[in-house]
Amino acid sequence: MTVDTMAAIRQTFFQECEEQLSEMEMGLLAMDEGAADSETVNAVFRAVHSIKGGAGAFKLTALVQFAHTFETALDHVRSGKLAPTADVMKPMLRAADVLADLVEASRDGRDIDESSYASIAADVKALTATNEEDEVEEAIDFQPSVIDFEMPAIATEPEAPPMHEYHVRFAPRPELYANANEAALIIRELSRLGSVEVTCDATAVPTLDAIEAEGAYLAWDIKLSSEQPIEAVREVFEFVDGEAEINISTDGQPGVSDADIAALLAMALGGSSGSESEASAAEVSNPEPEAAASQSEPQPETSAEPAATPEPAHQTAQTVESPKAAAVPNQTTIRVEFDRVDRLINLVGELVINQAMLSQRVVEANLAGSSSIVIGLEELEQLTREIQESVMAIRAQPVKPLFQRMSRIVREVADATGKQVRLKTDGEATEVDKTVVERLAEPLTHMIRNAVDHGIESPEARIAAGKPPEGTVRLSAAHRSGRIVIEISDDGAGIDRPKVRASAIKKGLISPDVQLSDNDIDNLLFLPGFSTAATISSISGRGVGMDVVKRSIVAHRDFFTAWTRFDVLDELATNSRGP
Amino acid sequence: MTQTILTVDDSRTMRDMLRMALAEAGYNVLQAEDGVHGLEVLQTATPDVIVTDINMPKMDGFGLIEAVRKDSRYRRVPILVLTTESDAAKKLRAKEAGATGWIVKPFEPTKLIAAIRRVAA
Repeated sequence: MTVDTMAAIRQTFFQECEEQLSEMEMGLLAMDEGAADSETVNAVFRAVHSIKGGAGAFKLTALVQFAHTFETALDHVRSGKLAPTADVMKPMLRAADVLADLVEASRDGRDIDESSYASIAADVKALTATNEEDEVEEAIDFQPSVIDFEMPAIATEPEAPPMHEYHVRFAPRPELYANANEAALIIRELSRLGSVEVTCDATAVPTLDAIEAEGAYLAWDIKLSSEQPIEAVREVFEFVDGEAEINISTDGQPGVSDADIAALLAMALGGSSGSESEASAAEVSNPEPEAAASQSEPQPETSAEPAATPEPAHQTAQTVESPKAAAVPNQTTIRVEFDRVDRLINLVGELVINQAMLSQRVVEANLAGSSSIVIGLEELEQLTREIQESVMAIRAQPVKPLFQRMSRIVREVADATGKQVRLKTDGEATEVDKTVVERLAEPLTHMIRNAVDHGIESPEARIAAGKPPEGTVRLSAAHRSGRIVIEISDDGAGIDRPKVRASAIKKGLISPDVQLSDNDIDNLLFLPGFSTAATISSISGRGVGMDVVKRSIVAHRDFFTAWTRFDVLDELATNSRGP
Repeated sequence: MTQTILTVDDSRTMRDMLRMALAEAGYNVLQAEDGVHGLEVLQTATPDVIVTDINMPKMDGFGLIEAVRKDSRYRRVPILVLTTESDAAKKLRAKEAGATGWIVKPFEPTKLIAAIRRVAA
């Protein structure tokens, strides 16, 4: 593949990562709330699995490794070995944050110091540590079919490689054909390795009346002269391992490899023919036990009955139409560069102005009396307005990704302050202009941090106040009479007005004798340099918080009024301070 | 005659990679996003080989393989599954379901083509 196509796919990969991270986060939060069905857990697993798969294609090693650790833990939840309790979900959610960071770093070509997330990786690993015994058992169970089919690099061999003479006995069983393999194709593939001499053994073919249509009666003896090592010969039979009797032996020709001699010795020691001797030969010839044994190992006694599987999750994935899947209709979408949409929006803006000017000119030219022109103009105005609305709708995006970022902020601040906080979100599907969504991030972050840091009390204080130890911060978005209203509330202690007032006096923001209503005091919060925190923490206390919120909103208010009549300030003033 | 390959994968990245690799090798490529979609595509086309992911929403790779093998029209179509690393358990299960072979992700285009050549007439 060319560099260009790889770059394009790389871009697709990171776009897709974003969607998968979002899906993962949503699923993990549902799991955390105990509201996840098996399909949700599957979806989370798939998302991480997919990221890992793509990352592997682009050799993003750190991302692959971490995703693998995470995926292993998720697989334990999926298979029911690990219950998604609070103790399990906490490291999982942190792991999700790390995964998002790693994706972002990979996209930007940055490296993330592994030590920065080593403890989270260790926590996630620890989740599955107790199940290690199972793992080992599984590994042993399945070892026979693991094949190391890395082709030795022929190019690095300096001189003409030695020729090998292989004798292959190949007797397909009916399963081979049932799985759509074809003996002839395998022999054809074998012929690509060198020159072959094929003898068909038809002695097993019964009389016509005893023939079963789907039976397998023919066997082949193949003499192969090839420069390729025995691994290459085995690779040809990789797919039909367990579906045929396969016996590969080598003749000691001058220049055979040590491994081949070892195999030959083993053959001689192991007795005449048959699959057993070959299995032992393979073991001797290859130091990796995993890679050996693959030939002619009988298929484990498993019927085609899928019910025997240890992974029930797959069945549910096939048959159960989950409520989540039903709720999210599979809409067709296209990806358009943001610049193109922007240009379209600008052009429509011009169109609106032009249309208004045209109306004005018609009035000025005294043509308003002509009813056909007036009707035409009205229609044009109507159309222009509809085009404008439709174009704006293109740029509208649900606030969900933004809200998901906030859930991460809550986790981080809660962790740093030793508080227990849950973010509850509402109206995530509410659509807001993309540029507004982007500009909401900063003020919302400040508000959420404030809510957790100042609003929610410590678990002890909450218990003392007769509240549950876990605090709740609510974040909601809604369309209300043409406005988009974002509400943040918390069930914390509320605003300590005497403290706010005292603090403002101390900082010289107001004079001590001024009379203030409750509302006025609340507005003090938005003054630059205001802070009630006694000490400056990394989270808040520097007095650069609420004034930023106010500035961002005021700054954007005028800008956005024309399009969305966006107005969050009033709502902030009345809703941000808890019950 | 140009051979047609149906790829079934929910990851757009993987679909793109498969399409590029297969198209470059001269195959005609059909694509589906999950097992259900794959079966729909099979209603209108008969590919020479099906390449399918395992982990997918709606209907996973195992489900797709079983459904294809049960259908007399397609039961002889070779099916290669995409697995990450050398997941022996998945390979085994895929085999039981009726898979013809497998391709390990991330794949080299040459490996992909070699695997297809090994099962396609």
